Amino acid sequence: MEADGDLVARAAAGDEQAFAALLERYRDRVFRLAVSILGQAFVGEAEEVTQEVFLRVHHALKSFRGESKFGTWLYRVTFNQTVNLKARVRFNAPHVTEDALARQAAADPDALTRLERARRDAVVAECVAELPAIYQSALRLHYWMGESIAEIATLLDVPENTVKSYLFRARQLLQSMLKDRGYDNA
Amino acid sequence: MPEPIEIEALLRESMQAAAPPKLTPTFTQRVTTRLRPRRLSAGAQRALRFYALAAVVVSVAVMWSQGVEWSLIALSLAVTAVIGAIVRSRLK
Repeated sequence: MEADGDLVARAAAGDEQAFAALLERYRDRVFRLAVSILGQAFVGEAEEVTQEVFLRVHHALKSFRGESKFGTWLYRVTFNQTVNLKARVRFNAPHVTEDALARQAAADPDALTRLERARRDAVVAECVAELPAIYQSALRLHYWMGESIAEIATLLDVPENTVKSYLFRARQLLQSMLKDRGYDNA
Repeated sequence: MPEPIEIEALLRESMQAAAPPKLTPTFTQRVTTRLRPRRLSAGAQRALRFYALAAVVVSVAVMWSQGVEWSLIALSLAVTAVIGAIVRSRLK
């Protein structure tokens, strides 16, 4: 497999195939990082961010000096672009009314269980969305997408111990938020 | 404060209710299409060249008819040509 540095040099010189190889290599990780910051309800928006990141990186390739790894640079661009977008645009998850949940539950044999589960999931998602962006990202990457601590550390460009402390702190905050919303058994 | 196991299980169960997301199959194609430089057709290029030439001829004629010196006319054309070259090189 060709090294990133060689691909970057060729892509910066205008080799479309080299850039296509970088795109193929990194697109899924960039997308996962973007969606981990925006949340489950914004997969489409995360894909748009991913596209914009690659377009921006393509234009900036000539100015990439190789002081850090290409991947590290790419993830930093992704993180900043996604957080900036989130700050500019208020992302509101589609609201599911109690009526809609009840109607859905009525058509199901395990209605009550499903209704309770849907309510609980909605509350968990609401609490996660109130956490700082870096905690949200770590939580979703770990619990939703099943990423390892090492992979999250690479994506967020922090040491593994820092990821562990993000997760620990996020769980503590969540626990107290869920308690405030009446989920004592969490 | 000891960390309860329950929150860990709750997060796993709640978040994994939705399948991990994937990029749409056309993603790579969309990015590469947007990266490809959009070239004008041969006819459009000819029309653009004709328009530029006509603009230069008309500008020179108007400036000369107003009594502008040839040196100033040449300078204004040169400045325009330099700006055009800079813009073109940045777009590449």
